[in-house]
Amino acid sequence: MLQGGGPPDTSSYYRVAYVWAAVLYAGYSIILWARSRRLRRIIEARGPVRRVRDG
Amino acid sequence: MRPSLLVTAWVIARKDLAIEFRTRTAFLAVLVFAVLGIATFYFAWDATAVAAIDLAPGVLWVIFTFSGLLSLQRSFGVELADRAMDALLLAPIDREAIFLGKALANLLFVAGILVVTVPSVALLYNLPLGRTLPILFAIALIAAIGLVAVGTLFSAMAANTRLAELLLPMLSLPFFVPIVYGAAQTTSMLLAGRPLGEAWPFMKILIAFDLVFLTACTLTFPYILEE
Amino acid sequence: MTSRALPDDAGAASPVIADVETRPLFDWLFGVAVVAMVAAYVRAVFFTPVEALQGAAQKIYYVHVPAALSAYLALGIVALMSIVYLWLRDERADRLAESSGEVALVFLTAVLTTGPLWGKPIWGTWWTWDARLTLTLFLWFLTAGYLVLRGAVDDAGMRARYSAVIGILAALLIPFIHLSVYLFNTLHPKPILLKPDKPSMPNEMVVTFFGFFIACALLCVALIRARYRYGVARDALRAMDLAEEGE
Repeated sequence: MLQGGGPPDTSSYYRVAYVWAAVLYAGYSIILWARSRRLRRIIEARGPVRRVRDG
Repeated sequence: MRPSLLVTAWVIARKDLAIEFRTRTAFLAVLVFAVLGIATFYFAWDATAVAAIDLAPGVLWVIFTFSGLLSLQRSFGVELADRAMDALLLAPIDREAIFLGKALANLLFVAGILVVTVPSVALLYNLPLGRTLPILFAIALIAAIGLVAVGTLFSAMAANTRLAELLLPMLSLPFFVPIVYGAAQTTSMLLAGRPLGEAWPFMKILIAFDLVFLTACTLTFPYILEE
Repeated sequence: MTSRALPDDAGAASPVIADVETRPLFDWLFGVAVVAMVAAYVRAVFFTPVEALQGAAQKIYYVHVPAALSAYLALGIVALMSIVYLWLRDERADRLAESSGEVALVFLTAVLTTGPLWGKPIWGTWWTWDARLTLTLFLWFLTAGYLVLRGAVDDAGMRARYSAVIGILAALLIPFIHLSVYLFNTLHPKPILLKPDKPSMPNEMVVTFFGFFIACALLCVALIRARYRYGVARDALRAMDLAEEGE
Protein backbone atom coordinates (compact mmCIF):
# COMPACT_ATOMS: atom_id res chain seq x y z
CA MET A 1 0.00 0.00 0.00
CA LEU A 2 3.01 2.22 -0.26
CA GLN A 3 2.00 4.39 -3.14
CA GLY A 4 3.37 7.76 -3.90
CA GLY A 5 -0.01 9.11 -5.01
CA GLY A 6 -3.26 9.49 -3.10
CA PRO A 7 -5.89 6.83 -2.31
CA PRO A 8 -6.79 4.26 -4.98
CA ASP A 9 -9.35 5.30 -7.55
CA THR A 10 -12.41 3.37 -6.57
CA SER A 11 -14.83 6.07 -7.66
CA SER A 12 -16.68 3.99 -10.26
CA TYR A 13 -17.87 1.56 -7.59
CA TYR A 14 -19.01 4.36 -5.40
CA ARG A 15 -20.93 6.10 -8.16
CA VAL A 16 -22.69 2.92 -9.22
CA ALA A 17 -23.62 2.17 -5.62
CA TYR A 18 -25.04 5.61 -4.94
CA VAL A 19 -26.97 5.77 -8.17
CA TRP A 20 -28.29 2.25 -7.75
CA ALA A 21 -29.50 2.89 -4.20
CA ALA A 22 -31.34 6.02 -5.36
CA VAL A 23 -32.85 4.07 -8.25
CA LEU A 24 -34.03 1.35 -5.87
CA TYR A 25 -35.74 3.70 -3.45
CA ALA A 26 -37.22 5.91 -6.15
CA GLY A 27 -38.28 2.91 -8.19
CA TYR A 28 -40.11 1.31 -5.30
CA SER A 29 -41.87 4.59 -4.49
CA ILE A 30 -42.98 4.94 -8.10
CA ILE A 31 -44.20 1.36 -8.27
CA LEU A 32 -46.15 1.88 -5.06
CA TRP A 33 -47.70 5.06 -6.42
CA ALA A 34 -48.65 3.34 -9.67
CA ARG A 35 -50.27 0.44 -7.83
CA SER A 36 -52.24 2.85 -5.72
CA ARG A 37 -53.42 4.85 -8.70
CA ARG A 38 -54.61 1.72 -10.49
CA LEU A 39 -56.44 0.60 -7.39
CA ARG A 40 -58.22 3.92 -6.96
CA ARG A 41 -59.38 3.84 -10.55
CA ILE A 42 -60.85 0.38 -10.04
CA ILE A 43 -62.59 1.41 -6.82
CA GLU A 44 -64.01 4.56 -8.32
CA ALA A 45 -65.22 2.68 -11.36
CA ARG A 46 -67.42 0.69 -9.02
CA GLY A 47 -69.49 3.73 -8.27
CA PRO A 48 -69.72 6.35 -5.54
CA VAL A 49 -67.72 5.60 -2.44
CA ARG A 50 -68.03 6.94 1.04
CA ARG A 51 -64.70 8.36 2.06
CA VAL A 52 -63.40 8.07 5.58
CA ARG A 53 -60.11 7.75 7.34
CA ASP A 54 -58.52 4.52 8.38
CA GLY A 55 -58.48 3.86 12.12
CA MET B 1 -46.42 -33.26 29.11
CA ARG B 2 -49.51 -35.32 29.74
CA PRO B 3 -49.05 -38.94 28.75
CA SER B 4 -52.05 -38.84 26.50
CA LEU B 5 -50.31 -36.27 24.28
CA LEU B 6 -47.51 -38.67 23.46
CA VAL B 7 -49.84 -41.64 23.19
CA THR B 8 -52.06 -39.75 20.76
CA ALA B 9 -49.02 -38.68 18.81
CA TRP B 10 -47.88 -42.25 18.54
CA VAL B 11 -51.29 -43.37 17.30
CA ILE B 12 -51.23 -40.73 14.59
CA ALA B 13 -47.65 -41.61 13.67
CA ARG B 14 -48.61 -45.25 13.37
CA LYS B 15 -51.51 -44.34 11.10
CA ASP B 16 -49.30 -42.34 8.79
CA LEU B 17 -46.64 -45.02 8.69
CA ALA B 18 -49.24 -47.71 8.07
CA ILE B 19 -50.54 -45.78 5.06
CA GLU B 20 -47.01 -45.33 3.84
CA PHE B 21 -46.12 -48.94 4.40
CA ARG B 22 -49.03 -50.15 2.37
CA THR B 23 -47.75 -48.65 -0.84
CA ARG B 24 -44.09 -47.92 -0.11
CA THR B 25 -43.83 -45.90 -3.31
CA ALA B 26 -42.87 -42.64 -1.62
CA PHE B 27 -40.17 -44.31 0.42
CA LEU B 28 -38.67 -46.01 -2.59
CA ALA B 29 -38.83 -42.80 -4.62
CA VAL B 30 -36.94 -40.84 -1.99
CA LEU B 31 -34.46 -43.67 -1.57
CA VAL B 32 -33.73 -43.80 -5.28
CA PHE B 33 -33.37 -40.02 -5.35
CA ALA B 34 -30.88 -40.12 -2.47
CA VAL B 35 -28.69 -42.82 -3.91
CA LEU B 36 -28.77 -41.26 -7.38
CA GLY B 37 -27.81 -37.96 -5.82
CA ILE B 38 -24.84 -39.48 -4.07
CA ALA B 39 -23.75 -41.05 -7.33
CA THR B 40 -24.16 -37.76 -9.21
CA PHE B 41 -21.95 -35.99 -6.72
CA TYR B 42 -19.38 -38.68 -7.30
CA PHE B 43 -19.28 -37.96 -11.01
CA ALA B 44 -19.14 -34.24 -10.39
CA TRP B 45 -16.09 -34.68 -8.21
CA ASP B 46 -12.47 -34.32 -9.22
CA ALA B 47 -10.79 -36.85 -6.95
CA THR B 48 -7.37 -35.37 -7.54
CA ALA B 49 -8.42 -31.94 -6.35
CA VAL B 50 -10.49 -32.82 -3.28
CA ALA B 51 -9.96 -35.73 -0.94
CA ALA B 52 -12.87 -38.07 -0.34
CA ILE B 53 -12.89 -37.39 3.35
CA ASP B 54 -13.27 -33.67 2.66
CA LEU B 55 -16.07 -34.09 0.18
CA ALA B 56 -18.10 -36.78 1.92
CA PRO B 57 -19.66 -34.69 4.69
CA GLY B 58 -20.89 -32.12 2.18
CA VAL B 59 -22.42 -34.80 -0.01
CA LEU B 60 -24.06 -36.51 2.90
CA TRP B 61 -25.69 -33.41 4.31
CA VAL B 62 -26.81 -31.96 1.01
CA ILE B 63 -28.44 -35.25 0.07
CA PHE B 64 -29.88 -35.49 3.56
CA THR B 65 -31.46 -32.05 3.17
CA PHE B 66 -33.02 -32.66 -0.21
CA SER B 67 -34.27 -36.15 0.51
CA GLY B 68 -35.67 -34.77 3.73
CA LEU B 69 -37.54 -32.16 1.72
CA LEU B 70 -38.89 -34.79 -0.61
CA SER B 71 -40.07 -36.89 2.30
CA LEU B 72 -41.85 -33.92 3.80
CA GLN B 73 -43.59 -33.03 0.58
CA ARG B 74 -45.66 -36.18 0.71
CA SER B 75 -46.44 -35.85 4.39
CA PHE B 76 -49.51 -33.67 4.22
CA GLY B 77 -50.58 -34.83 0.83
CA VAL B 78 -51.87 -37.90 2.64
CA GLU B 79 -54.45 -35.85 4.53
CA LEU B 80 -55.53 -33.71 1.62
CA ALA B 81 -57.08 -36.66 -0.15
CA ASP B 82 -60.76 -37.03 0.72
CA ARG B 83 -60.53 -34.22 3.26
CA ALA B 84 -59.22 -36.71 5.77
CA MET B 85 -57.88 -33.77 7.73
CA ASP B 86 -61.40 -32.80 8.77
CA ALA B 87 -61.84 -36.12 10.52
CA LEU B 88 -58.60 -35.57 12.39
CA LEU B 89 -59.68 -32.10 13.44
CA LEU B 90 -63.04 -33.32 14.71
CA ALA B 91 -61.47 -35.95 16.91
CA PRO B 92 -61.12 -34.92 20.59
CA ILE B 93 -57.36 -34.70 20.52
CA ASP B 94 -54.86 -31.89 21.03
CA ARG B 95 -53.75 -30.19 17.86
CA GLU B 96 -50.22 -30.40 19.23
CA ALA B 97 -50.58 -34.18 19.27
CA ILE B 98 -51.39 -34.15 15.56
CA PHE B 99 -48.20 -32.24 14.96
CA LEU B 100 -46.04 -34.49 17.09
CA GLY B 101 -47.56 -37.56 15.48
CA LYS B 102 -46.89 -36.32 11.97
CA ALA B 103 -43.41 -35.17 12.93
CA LEU B 104 -42.69 -38.56 14.45
CA ALA B 105 -43.88 -40.33 11.32
CA ASN B 106 -41.68 -38.05 9.22
CA LEU B 107 -38.74 -38.68 11.52
CA LEU B 108 -39.08 -42.43 11.17
CA PHE B 109 -39.43 -42.03 7.42
CA VAL B 110 -36.27 -39.93 7.22
CA ALA B 111 -34.47 -42.33 9.56
CA GLY B 112 -35.31 -45.12 7.15
CA ILE B 113 -33.78 -43.16 4.32
CA LEU B 114 -30.70 -42.48 6.44
CA VAL B 115 -30.22 -46.17 7.16
CA VAL B 116 -29.49 -46.60 3.46
CA THR B 117 -27.93 -43.24 2.68
CA VAL B 118 -25.29 -42.98 5.42
CA PRO B 119 -23.65 -46.34 4.69
CA SER B 120 -23.84 -45.57 0.97
CA VAL B 121 -21.84 -42.41 1.43
CA ALA B 122 -19.38 -44.21 3.69
CA LEU B 123 -18.93 -46.98 1.16
CA LEU B 124 -18.73 -44.88 -2.00
CA TYR B 125 -16.32 -42.41 -0.52
CA ASN B 126 -14.19 -44.98 1.28
CA LEU B 127 -14.70 -43.68 4.75
CA PRO B 128 -13.36 -45.80 7.62
CA LEU B 129 -16.64 -47.60 8.35
CA GLY B 130 -16.21 -49.07 11.76
CA ARG B 131 -15.21 -45.88 13.43
CA THR B 132 -17.47 -43.49 11.62
CA LEU B 133 -20.82 -45.18 11.10
CA PRO B 134 -22.19 -44.96 14.65
CA ILE B 135 -21.13 -41.32 14.92
CA LEU B 136 -22.66 -40.43 11.60
CA PHE B 137 -25.94 -42.09 12.50
CA ALA B 138 -26.08 -40.26 15.81
CA ILE B 139 -25.45 -36.87 14.23
CA ALA B 140 -27.89 -37.64 11.44
CA LEU B 141 -30.64 -38.50 13.87
CA ILE B 142 -30.17 -35.35 15.89
CA ALA B 143 -30.13 -33.27 12.72
CA ALA B 144 -33.21 -35.10 11.45
CA ILE B 145 -35.20 -34.06 14.51
CA GLY B 146 -34.69 -30.38 13.70
CA LEU B 147 -35.34 -30.89 10.01
CA VAL B 148 -38.53 -32.78 10.65
CA ALA B 149 -39.83 -30.32 13.26
CA VAL B 150 -39.57 -27.35 10.92
CA GLY B 151 -40.43 -29.29 7.80
CA THR B 152 -43.62 -30.83 9.18
CA LEU B 153 -44.94 -27.41 10.15
CA PHE B 154 -44.08 -25.86 6.82
CA SER B 155 -45.47 -28.73 4.78
CA ALA B 156 -48.73 -28.33 6.69
CA MET B 157 -48.75 -24.67 5.68
CA ALA B 158 -47.64 -25.22 2.13
CA ALA B 159 -50.25 -27.92 1.54
CA ASN B 160 -52.95 -25.26 1.86
CA THR B 161 -51.44 -22.86 -0.63
CA ARG B 162 -51.28 -22.58 -4.35
CA LEU B 163 -47.52 -22.91 -4.71
CA ALA B 164 -47.04 -25.89 -2.43
CA GLU B 165 -44.06 -27.49 -4.19
CA LEU B 166 -42.21 -24.19 -4.42
CA LEU B 167 -43.10 -22.90 -0.99
CA LEU B 168 -41.92 -25.85 1.06
CA PRO B 169 -38.27 -25.68 -0.07
CA MET B 170 -38.31 -21.90 -0.22
CA LEU B 171 -39.47 -21.53 3.36
CA SER B 172 -37.59 -24.49 4.82
CA LEU B 173 -34.09 -24.16 3.40
CA PRO B 174 -33.08 -21.06 5.36
CA PHE B 175 -34.10 -22.96 8.48
CA PHE B 176 -32.14 -26.02 7.47
CA VAL B 177 -28.89 -24.12 7.13
CA PRO B 178 -27.90 -24.10 10.83
CA ILE B 179 -28.69 -27.81 10.95
CA VAL B 180 -26.61 -28.59 7.90
CA TYR B 181 -23.81 -26.35 9.08
CA GLY B 182 -23.63 -27.87 12.56
CA ALA B 183 -23.93 -31.42 11.24
CA ALA B 184 -21.40 -30.99 8.44
CA GLN B 185 -18.78 -29.36 10.66
CA THR B 186 -19.20 -32.00 13.34
CA THR B 187 -18.96 -34.75 10.76
CA SER B 188 -15.80 -33.48 9.10
CA MET B 189 -14.12 -32.86 12.43
CA LEU B 190 -14.91 -36.29 13.74
CA LEU B 191 -13.94 -37.97 10.48
CA ALA B 192 -10.63 -36.17 10.62
CA GLY B 193 -10.09 -37.67 14.02
CA ARG B 194 -10.45 -34.49 16.03
CA PRO B 195 -11.55 -34.94 19.63
CA LEU B 196 -15.22 -34.57 20.45
CA GLY B 197 -14.54 -31.47 22.51
CA GLU B 198 -13.63 -29.49 19.42
CA ALA B 199 -16.80 -30.48 17.64
CA TRP B 200 -18.93 -29.74 20.67
CA PRO B 201 -19.83 -26.10 19.76
CA PHE B 202 -21.36 -27.36 16.54
CA MET B 203 -23.25 -30.12 18.29
CA LYS B 204 -24.54 -27.51 20.68
CA ILE B 205 -26.02 -25.56 17.78
CA LEU B 206 -27.74 -28.71 16.55
CA ILE B 207 -29.17 -29.65 19.91
CA ALA B 208 -30.23 -26.09 20.73
CA PHE B 209 -31.91 -25.81 17.35
CA ASP B 210 -33.79 -29.03 17.94
CA LEU B 211 -35.04 -27.96 21.33
CA VAL B 212 -36.05 -24.44 20.28
CA PHE B 213 -37.78 -25.38 17.08
CA LEU B 214 -39.44 -28.54 18.26
CA THR B 215 -41.06 -26.46 20.97
CA ALA B 216 -41.85 -23.47 18.78
CA CYS B 217 -43.31 -25.56 15.96
CA THR B 218 -45.41 -27.65 18.33
CA LEU B 219 -46.80 -24.50 19.92
CA THR B 220 -47.53 -22.67 16.66
CA PHE B 221 -49.03 -25.65 14.83
CA PRO B 222 -52.56 -25.13 16.19
CA TYR B 223 -52.61 -21.71 14.53
CA ILE B 224 -52.03 -23.39 11.19
CA LEU B 225 -54.98 -25.71 11.56
CA GLU B 226 -57.60 -23.20 12.61
CA GLU B 227 -60.53 -22.84 10.34
CA MET C 1 -62.86 -2.33 10.75
CA THR C 2 -62.57 0.17 8.03
CA SER C 3 -63.05 -1.91 4.91
CA ARG C 4 -66.68 -2.74 4.90
CA ALA C 5 -69.02 -3.02 1.96
CA LEU C 6 -72.71 -2.47 2.31
CA PRO C 7 -74.81 -4.61 0.03
CA ASP C 8 -77.41 -3.26 -2.34
CA ASP C 9 -81.00 -3.26 -1.41
CA ALA C 10 -82.68 -5.89 -3.49
CA GLY C 11 -83.89 -4.36 -6.72
CA ALA C 12 -82.51 -0.91 -5.93
CA ALA C 13 -80.00 0.64 -8.30
CA SER C 14 -77.79 2.02 -5.55
CA PRO C 15 -74.18 1.06 -6.00
CA VAL C 16 -71.98 -0.74 -3.51
CA ILE C 17 -70.47 1.70 -1.07
CA ALA C 18 -67.24 1.19 0.75
CA ASP C 19 -65.09 2.98 3.28
CA VAL C 20 -61.92 3.85 1.49
CA GLU C 21 -58.68 5.29 2.74
CA THR C 22 -58.51 8.90 1.61
CA ARG C 23 -55.18 10.05 2.92
CA PRO C 24 -52.57 10.19 0.19
CA LEU C 25 -49.83 7.64 0.04
CA PHE C 26 -47.06 10.20 -0.06
CA ASP C 27 -47.63 12.97 2.42
CA TRP C 28 -45.49 15.36 4.41
CA LEU C 29 -43.52 12.58 6.08
CA PHE C 30 -42.44 11.22 2.75
CA GLY C 31 -41.56 14.73 1.60
CA VAL C 32 -39.37 15.23 4.64
CA ALA C 33 -37.75 11.85 4.08
CA VAL C 34 -36.96 12.65 0.45
CA VAL C 35 -35.48 16.02 1.38
CA ALA C 36 -33.40 14.34 4.09
CA MET C 37 -32.12 11.72 1.66
CA VAL C 38 -31.19 14.32 -0.94
CA ALA C 39 -29.40 16.33 1.74
CA ALA C 40 -27.56 13.24 2.94
CA TYR C 41 -26.52 12.41 -0.59
CA VAL C 42 -25.29 15.91 -1.27
CA ARG C 43 -23.34 15.97 1.94
CA ALA C 44 -21.75 12.58 1.32
CA VAL C 45 -20.85 13.34 -2.27
CA PHE C 46 -19.67 16.92 -2.04
CA PHE C 47 -18.90 17.75 1.55
CA THR C 48 -17.28 14.65 2.96
CA PRO C 49 -13.61 13.95 2.47
CA VAL C 50 -12.44 10.89 0.62
CA GLU C 51 -10.91 8.33 2.91
CA ALA C 52 -7.16 7.95 2.61
CA LEU C 53 -6.75 4.20 2.46
CA GLN C 54 -9.89 3.05 0.70
CA GLY C 55 -10.59 5.84 -1.69
CA ALA C 56 -14.02 6.90 -2.81
CA ALA C 57 -15.52 3.45 -2.32
CA GLN C 58 -15.47 3.96 1.42
CA LYS C 59 -18.39 6.33 0.94
CA ILE C 60 -20.54 3.37 0.05
CA TYR C 61 -20.48 2.68 3.78
CA TYR C 62 -22.80 5.67 4.28
CA VAL C 63 -25.46 4.09 2.11
CA HIS C 64 -24.88 0.45 3.01
CA VAL C 65 -25.01 0.47 6.80
CA PRO C 66 -28.02 2.79 7.28
CA ALA C 67 -29.93 0.68 4.75
CA ALA C 68 -29.13 -2.40 6.83
CA LEU C 69 -30.30 -0.69 10.02
CA SER C 70 -33.52 0.42 8.36
CA ALA C 71 -34.09 -3.10 7.11
CA TYR C 72 -33.64 -4.43 10.64
CA LEU C 73 -36.11 -1.83 11.87
CA ALA C 74 -38.69 -2.92 9.32
CA LEU C 75 -38.13 -6.60 10.10
CA GLY C 76 -38.43 -5.90 13.80
CA ILE C 77 -41.86 -4.47 13.05
CA VAL C 78 -42.76 -7.61 11.11
CA ALA C 79 -41.78 -9.85 14.00
CA LEU C 80 -43.55 -7.70 16.57
CA MET C 81 -46.74 -7.39 14.51
CA SER C 82 -46.73 -11.14 13.95
CA ILE C 83 -46.91 -11.73 17.68
CA VAL C 84 -49.50 -8.96 18.08
CA TYR C 85 -51.67 -10.45 15.36
CA LEU C 86 -51.71 -13.95 16.84
CA TRP C 87 -52.52 -12.45 20.19
CA LEU C 88 -55.13 -9.83 19.24
CA ARG C 89 -56.29 -10.97 15.79
CA ASP C 90 -56.38 -7.38 14.60
CA GLU C 91 -56.07 -7.21 10.83
CA ARG C 92 -54.26 -3.91 11.10
CA ALA C 93 -51.34 -5.65 12.75
CA ASP C 94 -51.22 -8.07 9.85
CA ARG C 95 -51.41 -5.25 7.33
CA LEU C 96 -48.56 -3.41 9.07
CA ALA C 97 -46.48 -6.58 9.07
CA GLU C 98 -47.10 -7.04 5.35
CA SER C 99 -46.15 -3.45 4.58
CA SER C 100 -43.01 -3.60 6.68
CA GLY C 101 -42.00 -6.87 5.04
CA GLU C 102 -42.21 -5.43 1.56
CA VAL C 103 -40.26 -2.30 2.50
CA ALA C 104 -37.69 -4.46 4.31
CA LEU C 105 -37.09 -6.39 1.11
CA VAL C 106 -36.29 -3.16 -0.74
CA PHE C 107 -33.76 -2.11 1.89
CA LEU C 108 -32.28 -5.60 2.11
CA THR C 109 -31.77 -5.55 -1.65
CA ALA C 110 -29.96 -2.24 -1.27
CA VAL C 111 -27.68 -3.74 1.38
CA LEU C 112 -26.95 -6.86 -0.66
CA THR C 113 -26.11 -4.89 -3.79
CA THR C 114 -24.07 -2.09 -2.24
CA GLY C 115 -22.16 -4.58 -0.09
CA PRO C 116 -20.34 -6.31 -2.95
CA LEU C 117 -19.76 -2.93 -4.61
CA TRP C 118 -17.90 -2.00 -1.47
CA GLY C 119 -16.30 -5.39 -0.97
CA LYS C 120 -14.75 -5.69 -4.41
CA PRO C 121 -12.46 -2.68 -4.20
CA ILE C 122 -11.80 -3.05 -0.47
CA TRP C 123 -11.49 -6.78 0.10
CA GLY C 124 -10.76 -7.74 -3.47
CA THR C 125 -13.73 -10.07 -3.60
CA TRP C 126 -17.38 -9.59 -4.56
CA TRP C 127 -18.73 -11.74 -1.79
CA THR C 128 -17.56 -12.66 1.66
CA TRP C 129 -19.31 -14.75 4.26
CA ASP C 130 -18.87 -12.19 6.97
CA ALA C 131 -21.50 -11.68 9.62
CA ARG C 132 -23.48 -8.85 8.14
CA LEU C 133 -23.64 -9.94 4.52
CA THR C 134 -24.47 -13.54 5.37
CA LEU C 135 -27.19 -12.54 7.78
CA THR C 136 -28.57 -10.09 5.25
CA LEU C 137 -28.64 -12.79 2.61
CA PHE C 138 -30.65 -15.02 4.92
CA LEU C 139 -32.98 -12.22 5.85
CA TRP C 140 -33.52 -11.56 2.17
CA PHE C 141 -34.53 -15.17 1.55
CA LEU C 142 -36.74 -15.25 4.61
CA THR C 143 -38.45 -11.98 3.70
CA ALA C 144 -38.93 -13.06 0.10
CA GLY C 145 -40.37 -16.35 1.37
CA TYR C 146 -42.69 -14.40 3.66
CA LEU C 147 -43.99 -12.33 0.76
CA VAL C 148 -44.33 -15.32 -1.57
CA LEU C 149 -46.27 -17.17 1.12
CA ARG C 150 -48.63 -14.21 1.46
CA GLY C 151 -49.15 -14.19 -2.26
CA ALA C 152 -49.99 -17.87 -2.31
CA VAL C 153 -52.79 -17.89 0.26
CA ASP C 154 -56.16 -16.58 -0.81
CA ASP C 155 -58.06 -16.58 2.44
CA ALA C 156 -57.30 -13.46 4.48
CA GLY C 157 -57.46 -15.07 7.91
CA MET C 158 -55.29 -18.00 6.87
CA ARG C 159 -52.83 -15.68 5.18
CA ALA C 160 -52.49 -13.57 8.30
CA ARG C 161 -52.04 -16.57 10.59
CA TYR C 162 -49.50 -18.30 8.36
CA SER C 163 -47.51 -15.11 7.88
CA ALA C 164 -47.48 -14.49 11.60
CA VAL C 165 -46.16 -17.98 12.32
CA ILE C 166 -43.42 -17.60 9.72
CA GLY C 167 -42.57 -14.17 11.11
CA ILE C 168 -42.11 -15.52 14.61
CA LEU C 169 -40.13 -18.57 13.51
CA ALA C 170 -37.87 -16.45 11.32
CA ALA C 171 -37.15 -14.21 14.29
CA LEU C 172 -36.20 -17.31 16.29
CA LEU C 173 -33.87 -18.38 13.51
CA ILE C 174 -31.77 -15.21 13.54
CA PRO C 175 -29.66 -16.06 16.61
CA PHE C 176 -28.84 -19.45 15.08
CA ILE C 177 -27.65 -17.86 11.86
CA HIS C 178 -25.58 -15.40 13.86
CA LEU C 179 -24.01 -18.17 15.87
CA SER C 180 -23.26 -20.26 12.80
CA VAL C 181 -21.63 -17.33 11.05
CA TYR C 182 -19.62 -16.46 14.14
CA LEU C 183 -18.31 -20.01 14.41
CA PHE C 184 -17.67 -20.10 10.68
CA ASN C 185 -15.60 -16.96 10.83
CA THR C 186 -13.56 -18.12 13.81
CA LEU C 187 -12.86 -21.33 11.92
CA HIS C 188 -11.93 -19.56 8.71
CA PRO C 189 -10.51 -16.15 9.54
CA LYS C 190 -10.30 -13.89 6.56
CA PRO C 191 -7.05 -12.23 5.69
CA ILE C 192 -8.21 -8.67 5.94
CA LEU C 193 -5.80 -5.99 4.99
CA LEU C 194 -8.06 -3.23 6.15
CA LYS C 195 -10.71 -3.21 8.81
CA PRO C 196 -13.38 -1.06 7.28
CA ASP C 197 -16.13 -2.00 9.70
CA LYS C 198 -15.22 0.15 12.62
CA PRO C 199 -12.81 2.79 11.49
CA SER C 200 -12.16 5.61 13.88
CA MET C 201 -13.91 8.20 11.79
CA PRO C 202 -13.22 11.87 11.95
CA ASN C 203 -16.17 13.97 13.01
CA GLU C 204 -17.16 15.01 9.51
CA MET C 205 -17.66 11.41 8.52
CA VAL C 206 -19.58 10.62 11.65
CA VAL C 207 -21.98 13.47 10.92
CA THR C 208 -22.47 12.28 7.35
CA PHE C 209 -23.12 8.77 8.55
CA PHE C 210 -25.58 9.92 11.16
CA GLY C 211 -27.35 12.10 8.62
CA PHE C 212 -27.74 9.16 6.27
CA PHE C 213 -28.98 7.02 9.10
CA ILE C 214 -31.72 9.50 9.98
CA ALA C 215 -32.69 9.98 6.35
CA CYS C 216 -32.86 6.24 5.72
CA ALA C 217 -34.93 5.61 8.81
CA LEU C 218 -37.34 8.38 7.84
CA LEU C 219 -37.64 6.98 4.34
CA CYS C 220 -38.25 3.50 5.75
CA VAL C 221 -41.06 4.68 8.00
CA ALA C 222 -42.59 6.84 5.27
CA LEU C 223 -42.56 3.96 2.81
CA ILE C 224 -44.09 1.60 5.34
CA ARG C 225 -46.84 4.10 5.99
CA ALA C 226 -47.45 4.59 2.28
CA ARG C 227 -47.56 0.86 1.68
CA TYR C 228 -49.92 0.47 4.63
CA ARG C 229 -52.35 2.95 3.15
CA TYR C 230 -52.19 1.13 -0.14
CA GLY C 231 -53.00 -2.03 1.80
CA VAL C 232 -56.07 -0.40 3.34
CA ALA C 233 -57.39 0.54 -0.09
CA ARG C 234 -56.64 -2.89 -1.49
CA ASP C 235 -58.44 -4.60 1.37
CA ALA C 236 -61.42 -2.32 0.82
CA LEU C 237 -61.56 -3.44 -2.78
CA ARG C 238 -61.35 -7.07 -1.73
CA ALA C 239 -64.19 -6.54 0.71
CA MET C 240 -66.27 -5.03 -2.08
CA ASP C 241 -65.52 -8.03 -4.27
CA LEU C 242 -66.53 -10.43 -1.54
CA ALA C 243 -69.74 -8.54 -0.89
CA GLU C 244 -70.61 -8.63 -4.56
CA GLU C 245 -69.93 -12.33 -4.73
CA GLY C 246 -72.23 -12.87 -1.81
CA GLU C 247 -75.16 -11.32 -3.61
